[in-house]
Amino acid sequence: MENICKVCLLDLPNSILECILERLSPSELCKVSTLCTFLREKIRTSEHLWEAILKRKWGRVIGDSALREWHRFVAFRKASSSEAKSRSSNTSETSGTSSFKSDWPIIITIGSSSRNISQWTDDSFPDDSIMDLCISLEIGLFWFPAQLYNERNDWTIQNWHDAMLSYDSRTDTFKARYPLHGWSEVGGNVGWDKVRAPAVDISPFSVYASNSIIHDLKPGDHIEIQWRHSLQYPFDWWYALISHVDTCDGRGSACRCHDNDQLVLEFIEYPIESYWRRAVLSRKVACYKEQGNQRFGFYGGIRKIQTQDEIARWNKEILPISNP
Amino acid sequence: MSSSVEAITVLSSDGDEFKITVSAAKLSKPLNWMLEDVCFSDDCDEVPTIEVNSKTLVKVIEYCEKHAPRANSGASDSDAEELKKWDIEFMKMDVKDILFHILMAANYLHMEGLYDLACQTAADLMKGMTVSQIRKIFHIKNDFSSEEQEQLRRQHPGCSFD
Repeated sequence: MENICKVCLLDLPNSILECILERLSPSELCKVSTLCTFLREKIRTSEHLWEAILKRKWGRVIGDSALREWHRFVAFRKASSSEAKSRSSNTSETSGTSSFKSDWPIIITIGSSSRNISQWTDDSFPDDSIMDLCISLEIGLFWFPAQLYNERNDWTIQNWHDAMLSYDSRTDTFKARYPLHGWSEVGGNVGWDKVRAPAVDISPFSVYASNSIIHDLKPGDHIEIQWRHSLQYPFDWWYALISHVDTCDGRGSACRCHDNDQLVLEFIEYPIESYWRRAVLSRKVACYKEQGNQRFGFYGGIRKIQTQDEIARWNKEILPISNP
Repeated sequence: MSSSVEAITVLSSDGDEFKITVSAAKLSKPLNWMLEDVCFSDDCDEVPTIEVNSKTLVKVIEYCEKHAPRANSGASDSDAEELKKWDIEFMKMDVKDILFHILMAANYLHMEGLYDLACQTAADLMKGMTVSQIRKIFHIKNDFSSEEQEQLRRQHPGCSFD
């Protein structure tokens, strides 16, 4: 292994060096920062490098709501740091207080992870930096809002639902807390393929305002719609296709379904004969509130799925089950 | 000029001649431009020079020739899988002593696939090594003062400095 390269790492142009470094985990970067003073400064001061790491590793799961919650998390941590320091080092958890109001809780865990971060926290980086965010994500210190794919072994439930997540680097999976029961319920071992950044930035209990697109929806459009079993529950996001109203045979230019107040949804994961397969909503009502009843649940806001990637992702999850 | 040209001759920075097929040269924009220049110029005898040394250019051309069929026509998943395995083997060979040259060549020739592969290889090399192994292999001089060194030992108890 001697002399395996004749060019020194530091001779590489800056852009290439950063492309190599952005492929390392924070703990590996921590190691690399001890190689020489140049690399130490580079790793501590390059916003570009940490932005690349954030995008590369976390881009798919960190959305606007997670970034906003990060700033609240930092503010909360600053405000409570003196209190936290005086506390014993045993694991304990607190939830956000009223002065940091949001739809999401702030979850602070004190314990093993704070030991891991100590090697970074001498004089090295400003709070609230992207580097701080990346490290806090990596060591599972920062719980962030995201959505999980929920599926039962039978085909009865397939949807995205909101959760607070914390990464576990040992297993490369996530721990999750769910909004019911004050976010106390915890699950684990959630794989990367079952997580996404929330498609829209709202509370799990709020109806998404879809009035800008609701009147443009036409048969064949792919959508996600909020649905909940009862008014005390958070909404989940379900996939559906817009279909033709009963009086339309769906043929060519005679179809006026897009002018009809009735909006017919097809939940294609259910068999044709199932009463969960179709739902008929009013476009007017959908503009301002949820509609439904205790028996069939409540339908909230709608977002149109714009990209082929998203459609493909849903079809990949759903179709093998409905069309075995 | 002739549209039936299947391969062109190029010179490395050391002045050695190499042949590269037209389809393989398409993996790199600069190579492709060069090729068009050669094919369409009146003076077909002129041999273009690529600012990459011979040892590196051999590897770059080998990579291009292997990846060209897939890049030009698309490929099935099994081909993609096979190509991935080939890439791993390709990076395992004597390429290590010229890894950084390959990186710079891929950057200069705008070859995204090879560039990503080489960056990942360099990163993977660092992952399993101790600090002193990385210093030795990547030729990095430890320029910390003894006080800083002592501080680092305290801050990074998990890192081996030996």
